[in-house]
Amino acid sequence: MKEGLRQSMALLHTWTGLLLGWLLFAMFATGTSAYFQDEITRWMQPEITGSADPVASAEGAVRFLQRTAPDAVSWYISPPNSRSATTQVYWQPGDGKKPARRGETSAVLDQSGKEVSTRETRGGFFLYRFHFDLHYMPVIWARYLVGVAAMFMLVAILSGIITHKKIFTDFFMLRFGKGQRSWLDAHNVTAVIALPFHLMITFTGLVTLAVLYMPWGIAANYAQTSTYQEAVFGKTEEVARSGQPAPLAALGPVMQSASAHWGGKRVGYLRVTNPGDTTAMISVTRAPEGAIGSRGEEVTFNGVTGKPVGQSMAKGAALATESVMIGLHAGRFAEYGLRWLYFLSGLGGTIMVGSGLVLWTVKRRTKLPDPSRPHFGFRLVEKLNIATIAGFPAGIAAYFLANRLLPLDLAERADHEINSLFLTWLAVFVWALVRPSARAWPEMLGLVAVLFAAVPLVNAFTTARGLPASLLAGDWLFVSFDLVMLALAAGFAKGAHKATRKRVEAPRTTRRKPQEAMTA
Amino acid sequence: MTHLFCTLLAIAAFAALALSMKRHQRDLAGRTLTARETSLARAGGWSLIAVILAVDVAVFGFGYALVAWAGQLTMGAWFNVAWLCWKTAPSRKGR
Repeated sequence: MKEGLRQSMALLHTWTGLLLGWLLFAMFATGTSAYFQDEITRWMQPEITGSADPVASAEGAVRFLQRTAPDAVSWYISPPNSRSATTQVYWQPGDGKKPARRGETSAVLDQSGKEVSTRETRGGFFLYRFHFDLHYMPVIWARYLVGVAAMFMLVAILSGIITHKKIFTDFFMLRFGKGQRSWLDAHNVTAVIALPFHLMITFTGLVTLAVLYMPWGIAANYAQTSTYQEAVFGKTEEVARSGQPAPLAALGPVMQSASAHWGGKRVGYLRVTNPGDTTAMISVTRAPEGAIGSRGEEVTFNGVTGKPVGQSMAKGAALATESVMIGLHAGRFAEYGLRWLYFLSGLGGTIMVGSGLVLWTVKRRTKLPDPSRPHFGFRLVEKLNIATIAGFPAGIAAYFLANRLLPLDLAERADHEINSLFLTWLAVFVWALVRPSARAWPEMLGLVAVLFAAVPLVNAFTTARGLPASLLAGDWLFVSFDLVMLALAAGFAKGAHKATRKRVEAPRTTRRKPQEAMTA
Repeated sequence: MTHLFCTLLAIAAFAALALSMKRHQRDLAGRTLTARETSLARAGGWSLIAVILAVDVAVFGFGYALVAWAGQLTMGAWFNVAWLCWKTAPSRKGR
């Protein structure tokens, strides 16, 4: 009976892992990069240097908004935090018209409130959004697809734990050069060593969109979603303008007062409603780095006197639990040390998914009736593996390269950067289709290594912030980014080398066709 | 800095735990350990893991400490896997 359970779990593990494994690989890779989305954005906007003071920046933003949108319904101001140097503002126009483009009601400002001139890019934010919204498809479909994939992942992890016979005895086991056994080792070790992370990240990932996947709880208890929102988060009343102008309270004291209310925690963003009117209100929301669970902790001030008038309602147990889970997933609370640990754990998860995908083919190759002519399903998996495990990282490298190489005044530049990611991915897929798999593997892994290695080089030639310069200037963000690119290049180069050597060693495996061994 | 310190402790902790396992003793220590040494290594490893948690809680507070602890232990275990992998590599044995 026990063997029966283990076998059925192995079957479940194999197929839940495989079916959406390619999507999971891309989700893991982009999710991992999203821990450094602000830093990636800063790397992709090399024109912006230094740091900025949050209070001075917020006041600069007010001057900009008073010029640009004095009659707006509301302004949103995100002053720079510990990881950024610019202020993001957007506003809801007063005439009630929806803007044709996002760019018409938003701006990126420097500390003095001037619009910064930087290359058009979506930066790390795109990778973050791809993690759950994908691209070139309606967001809602993407989120359902991502949810199914995450559910499969959870099932694969749990069934994998049951399948894995010797979690503790094999804890440190990683033997290279032993074919299938090595792949199994790699898959087990990456899975087991970061198991708390994998379980946490998969489960909390599902929680982030749980209301979308399971709307019935709310539907059964509230007539409208808005009623639920009010019951849980409190009501935000819209007050009409009185029409009597009044100057806006200075934001500096308001921000200090809010920060003191949170025991010195930083301000995340400010919302000003009816600016320039006697009915003006300022809502200040705490930065998510303030605590693990963060969900709109807010203090409201009178917009003319600057006196506090209220704060967001206390969270119930369910909401507090949810916000801690989401906080754990996104890691916004983590300072740099913990952020690196998150990043490395995510990298391990990406390797786990990748090695699992490869293991599927490695296990079956020796059992094929004729290994030189595998059946369609086997070939499909093998090609998709190459296309994803080499292709997607190649796409990410291309995204960074495009950021440096596309002409600065190109129309729709940000979209072209994104397109270059997917075009590169597609190109690798096509290459995998037309080449024999045994050759496509080292070729494409080698290509990824070259692309990642090219990123710091191209950066050095196209900006004044190359690795030697940033080392001298102590610009650790740029130094780290370039070093991570080089480390990734080294990792993929090692992979390409191994994939080449495997073919050299091929004659030793008896079941291989001589013809395949000859290609070595 | 705490992360670095705790990760170093985690490396030591998992090295001790690996030493307490028969299959890794020859690779790590060059010989098989006595029963006493083995249980000492096991107890030492687990105690270190507890010490790391205590340090994290003292520095970061409970919630943050649990997350940091999981991350540091993961890195500590990884380091030992890599080290064992390098020590037992066929290229180092054969040639």
